Amino acid sequence: MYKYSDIDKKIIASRVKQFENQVNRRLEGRLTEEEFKPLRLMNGLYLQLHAYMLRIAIPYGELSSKQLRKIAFIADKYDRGYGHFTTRQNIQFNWPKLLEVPEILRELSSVEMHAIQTSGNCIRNISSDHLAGLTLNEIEDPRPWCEIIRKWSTFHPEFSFLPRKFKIAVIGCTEDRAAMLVHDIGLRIIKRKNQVGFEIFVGGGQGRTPIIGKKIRDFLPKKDILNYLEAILTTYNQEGRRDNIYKARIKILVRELGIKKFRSLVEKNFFKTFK
Amino acid sequence: MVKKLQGETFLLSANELRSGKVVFFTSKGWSSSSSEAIKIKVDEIERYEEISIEEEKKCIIISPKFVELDDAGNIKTLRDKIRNSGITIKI
Repeated sequence: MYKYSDIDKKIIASRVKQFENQVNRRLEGRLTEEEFKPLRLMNGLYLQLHAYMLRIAIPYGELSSKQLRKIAFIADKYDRGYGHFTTRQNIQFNWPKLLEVPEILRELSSVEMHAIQTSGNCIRNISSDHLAGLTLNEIEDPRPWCEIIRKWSTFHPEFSFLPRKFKIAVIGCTEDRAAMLVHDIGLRIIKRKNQVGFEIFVGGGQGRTPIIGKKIRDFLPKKDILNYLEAILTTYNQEGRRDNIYKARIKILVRELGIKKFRSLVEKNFFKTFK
Repeated sequence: MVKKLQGETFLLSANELRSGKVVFFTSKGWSSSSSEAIKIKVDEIERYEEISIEEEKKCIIISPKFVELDDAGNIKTLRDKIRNSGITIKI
């Protein structure tokens, strides 16, 4: 399990302080809701039908007992004694009070957790197989790859304002327990001629337009994965629609261009990343 | 807020800024009980819209909306019924 470095700890602590300041300014009327909304969304805080909702990231669905106990403590102290584990391995609290959200985030930071990039048009929490590291027919444990992608995508300046939200899943065996094929990018670790790499799918999704992802690469050596992800994201960032929220996901772009055309654009960007 | 309205009678609702809870505008201010809410005729909407803007500026509420009532004076849409009476499952 990944352990925060001192730099990680400082970043998360300063982020909590920053959000606390923003909440205070909102409550004092120095920020309007229009100004505050993008700031709260960057910290996973929505306003829903009944109340606020805070979505907390659980990177690739892995929790220590200490973290789980902290979540239970938060549920009891700041919410209604329960939370909702989501299909993408996060947890949501449905009744937090705005005033108390910075305290909740501070509690989370004490166990190396946060709510950053759980909302907004950025790369969301990386999800994986809940049996990762346990299943017999796994080519390789996908969690280190999830962690590498998490680190690469967190606060990525180029991919923080994509046309729409962006979800990635990584699996290490043939069984798709992470529903990788209905993610914006799905990665499956495979072995070809004794070389380990990725089979890559793109443009899957659920919601009002459910689509199964299309294969964009049969095999990619694992050393090239971040370059290839960058190429896909760059293509989407440049070509994806921003004028209509319902047509802004990458699945619509892939469907409109066709996988062949989309692949050729990605490959062009991929080779540029080596120059 | 007013443009999409249909119907004759409404309640003014919102979320409380600090807690996020659903509230309704009554003669004594905001309340979580819709039964105490003022029934607003369609020709009074503008006046209550001004009130909601002021209440937002005072950082008391967010996301104000008018809730349509049916002929019997009950909340009309399922969404607003759920919003009023809370979650539909026992936890």
